[in-house]
Amino acid sequence: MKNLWLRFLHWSYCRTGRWGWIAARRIRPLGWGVSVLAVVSAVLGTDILKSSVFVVFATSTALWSISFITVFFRSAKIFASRELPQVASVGEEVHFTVTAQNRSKHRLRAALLEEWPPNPNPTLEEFSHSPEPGEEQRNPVDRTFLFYRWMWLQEQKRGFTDFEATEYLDVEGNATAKVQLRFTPTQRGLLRFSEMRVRLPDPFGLFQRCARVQAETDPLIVLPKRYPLGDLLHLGQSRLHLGGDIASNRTGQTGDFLHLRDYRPGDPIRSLDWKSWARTGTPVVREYEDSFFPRFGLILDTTGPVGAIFEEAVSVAASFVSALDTEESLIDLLFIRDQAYRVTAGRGVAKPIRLLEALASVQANGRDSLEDLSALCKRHHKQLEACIAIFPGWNAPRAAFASQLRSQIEELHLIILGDESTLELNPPADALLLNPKNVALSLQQLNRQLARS
Amino acid sequence: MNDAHLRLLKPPRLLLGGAVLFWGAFTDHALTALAMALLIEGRHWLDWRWRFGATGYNRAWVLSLLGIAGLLTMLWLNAGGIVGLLGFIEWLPVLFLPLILAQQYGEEEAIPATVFSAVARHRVKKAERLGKPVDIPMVHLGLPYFAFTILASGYNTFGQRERLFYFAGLLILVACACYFVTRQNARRPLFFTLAFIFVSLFSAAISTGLVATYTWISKGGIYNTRSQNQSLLRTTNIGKIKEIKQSRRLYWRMWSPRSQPHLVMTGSYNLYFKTRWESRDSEGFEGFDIFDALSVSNEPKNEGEFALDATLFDLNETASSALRFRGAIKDNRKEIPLSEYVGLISDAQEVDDIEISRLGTAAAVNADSVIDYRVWDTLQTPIRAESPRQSISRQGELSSYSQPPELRIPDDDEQIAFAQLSRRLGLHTMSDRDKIRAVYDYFRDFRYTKNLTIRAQAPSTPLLKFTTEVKAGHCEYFASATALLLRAAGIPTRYATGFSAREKASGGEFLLRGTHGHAWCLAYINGQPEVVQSTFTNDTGETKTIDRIVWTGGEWIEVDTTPASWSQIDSPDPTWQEKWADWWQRLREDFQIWRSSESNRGWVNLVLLIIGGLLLAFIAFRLAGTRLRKTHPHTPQSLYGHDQEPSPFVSLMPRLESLLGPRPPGIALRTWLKAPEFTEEQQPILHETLALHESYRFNQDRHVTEQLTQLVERLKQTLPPK
Repeated sequence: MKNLWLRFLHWSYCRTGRWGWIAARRIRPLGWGVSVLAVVSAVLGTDILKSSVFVVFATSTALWSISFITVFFRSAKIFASRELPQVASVGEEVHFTVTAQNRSKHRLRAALLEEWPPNPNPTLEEFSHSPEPGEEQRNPVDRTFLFYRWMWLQEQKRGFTDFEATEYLDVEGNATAKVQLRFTPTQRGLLRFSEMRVRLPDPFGLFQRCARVQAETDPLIVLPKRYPLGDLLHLGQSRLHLGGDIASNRTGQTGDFLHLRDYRPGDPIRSLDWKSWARTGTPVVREYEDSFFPRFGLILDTTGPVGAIFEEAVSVAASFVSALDTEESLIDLLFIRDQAYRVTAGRGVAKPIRLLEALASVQANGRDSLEDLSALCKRHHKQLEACIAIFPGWNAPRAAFASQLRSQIEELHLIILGDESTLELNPPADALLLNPKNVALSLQQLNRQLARS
Repeated sequence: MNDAHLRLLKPPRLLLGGAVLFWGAFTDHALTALAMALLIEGRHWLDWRWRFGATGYNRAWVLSLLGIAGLLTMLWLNAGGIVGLLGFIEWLPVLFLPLILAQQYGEEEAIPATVFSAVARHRVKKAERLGKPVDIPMVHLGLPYFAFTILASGYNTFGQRERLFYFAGLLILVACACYFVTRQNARRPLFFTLAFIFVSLFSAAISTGLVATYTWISKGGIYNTRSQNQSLLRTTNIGKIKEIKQSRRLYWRMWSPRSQPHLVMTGSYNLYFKTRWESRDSEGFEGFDIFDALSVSNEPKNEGEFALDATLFDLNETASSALRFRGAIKDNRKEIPLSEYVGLISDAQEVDDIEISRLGTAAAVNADSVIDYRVWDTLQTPIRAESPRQSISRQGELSSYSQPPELRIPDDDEQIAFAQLSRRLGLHTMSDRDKIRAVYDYFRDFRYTKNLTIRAQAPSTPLLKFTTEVKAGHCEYFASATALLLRAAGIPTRYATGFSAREKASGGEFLLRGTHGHAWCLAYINGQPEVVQSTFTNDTGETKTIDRIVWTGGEWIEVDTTPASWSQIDSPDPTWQEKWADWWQRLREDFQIWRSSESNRGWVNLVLLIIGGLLLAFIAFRLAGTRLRKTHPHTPQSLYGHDQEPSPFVSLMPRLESLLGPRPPGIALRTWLKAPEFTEEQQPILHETLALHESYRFNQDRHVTEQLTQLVERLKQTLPPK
């Protein structure tokens, strides 16, 4: 019965949401205002003998009607290309340029370019299994009709705020113009821009046509939000691992001088010690101590529902990726999505952006994948000097997984996101507990505690 | 708060001021409007700004709500009903003035939408507690205020000329609003002008159409819709199947020297047609009865007096007793109860004018409130009611009916049936007084009931069924049947409505409730028709002399054939709820009359003025201390963002400047403070204070606030005063 109800709600919200979107795009705020004024004046102006409010009704109705008619006389034939940046970050406003070509022979004025987001409707599965944070505290009506859950999921999926040009387009027939567009990503991941529209308002600004603009689909990676970490964690020491000289992209001598030895075929010419060769007559090479870089692990637990806590966990992981010095270390990001992933970045391997891109696409898998994650860690733990494990919540399976990790990795830091209301189990004493409602403040407090100690 | 305010719709400069002046011109509050317009538009020239924040806007909203509540209370005291309460619309620009001023002089461009809803504020707080991102929408009140102002301007504007000016002004304001609200690079003057000409023509057409439709409907364009004015037309419940339910509410209170129950008339009608009674004018019979204003005098002693004749203004000095009425008028023009021999109405409070028709119906004009008046009787022949007479059309032509409307029975079936009944009762051979007695006798066996069950089928009518078959009905049946039966017997009659004064309260006060509402008929007895020469001025101004039949020599008497049991059925003893409601209504009405009396009005207004003045002074005092400059809105530490509180260290700056002199431009704070003026004791505290200040200032570390404040206070104690 509950499934049937959820199915019905999903169906009806999908349908009504579409009409709501159409109305919201086509009727401008002034249009809504004039409509309300017409209704109010119709109610108040019924006594024609005593009042002239009916004149307001007549004028607003006339304005509404003429606007509605004239908007159909507006049309545009535009081809546009976006000049997007490679990456963007959640919460950071992005400005970019659009080159718009007017393919009509008529001049186009008072037109505003905008980008429509992809369909933000959640799937039935998402709608059924992703409760809005704090939903249990809502009143019975809200909990029955789940409208706020729907709105919240839509917000999550929309990906960016209002996306419109900063100025009106004014372009002659068969000419090209450039306009600036801006938006703020609200969700990490891969955004695909495929529906650019041009808004064509009527002369009074009550209604507008939203004509489609011919443009190619452009992708944009939106990186997770990052926090300043300060001196929160100092991880491990270096060990013998790849990523030293072999993986180093630095040429020339590295490490301390060890000794001289005879040349062996295959030795690089630059290692030859020319003076010793001249003195002894046999080729001699200089041998240096190999450089080793520390390798850190960053484990992200992706079990658990989609929600603010998980997003904050991803942001904390991204913050560590940004904060760790990849010039002097390697970082392994370990997580489970549809399969086990180990993404490495660091000196000579890849830039940290690769890890951030991986984190941008991380999804909460909604199933118990700790066993897979445990197996992944078991395969790679020997190479890791230190490890940071980030958990969006804390419960018995996670505690078991953490204790297993402790037995494998010498230096393990647990970071748990949650508070008293969300944690099912008391976190270990040495774990860093971050309040997902205000991670920045939690990190600041931890830093201060660290400074005092 | 987000940056949505950058894209907010804002009215252009001077539009709001113009709209407010427009309001002032149409509501006779020109001076108030001028002051308001200057205040609203002053933001463009004044350098004053305030940082109100959500709390400040909230207070402005509460102030507006208090204003609305106060005005509604006053209107409610006026007992004007729902329509009367809507009178607050006229004052909308004043009521929302605190809000619009807060927006105009606030630092923010717009107001957070949560200001208007406690539920929304609660939701935002809840979302913030849950760590959800909250995007509070911002509302710019300019255009809503503009809409309220134009609505308020038209709410009490009527008359063809005023309406024309209103329409023209409205079009100009709307055109300015629509054109200038658009961004400059999106304006298309030619297209806009063309489209707006269409809007003007279309709105003129709609307005004309609405007026024409309204007139058509009120003239009876749709069945049974002809005029809702009960003083001209009374639709009875005859022929309806239902139980009559009347209100127990007090309509009028009457102080009468008479102690026995009697009837008090409010309306009189002379033409019966298909269950409706109409008040038809004999002098221009196509139209409804015409009301003429009672005489007023310019003498100060006669203030608040309305006389039926200019010679009767002294009646209150000669007559010994008067009736006094007090009640609420919910309509601009509504019938009022008067005595039968009324000559003068005195001490009328809250009444602009009183009009009376030739049939004796009186109406108070422009009295949208509780009214109070005394009625003095004249000892002469009652001039309230005109005798029956043959009608003359507006063109000055004599009606084809030789009989006056008071003798006509338009329905043929009813005419025949009542004539037969009259013959059966032998009324034609009797004197007028005997006829009346016989009619009383005929209706004696009838039964009074509020359950109406008569449904007529042709050729019979409901009134005939009542008279000949069912013999049970409501007072409207009795009064109508009596009137038609007497007409059939040759006595001119009218249908009268009013109250039966029988519930007596303490202090000689009669309570006239809805359930005391009654109908009876007035019979003109002992009169004789004679041909009289009348002069009549027609619509074109032409004066004609016409010979017509006028009944003279008779008198109007009340004939009430409704069984006396109706008063017991309709008027049970009041319940405790009704007593409580009566007490409350009396209190409200008495307070309203007390407040509006000449002797009290002055100091009541003075008290209100003092309260208002004190409130304004308090607001001005609060605002004076927090004023900012538009050009330097963020105080000296302008590098702080809008939402950042300045560091406690800032309060130390005047002391430091008095010690070291002004800080030179380009010199870092720390460098400036490395001065020999500081003692060895002060230096470590200063060093620590600076470190915390920098942490507060540049690391946004708010946890040091308390410690920093303490250190600043310690330093202040050691530094010399400014």
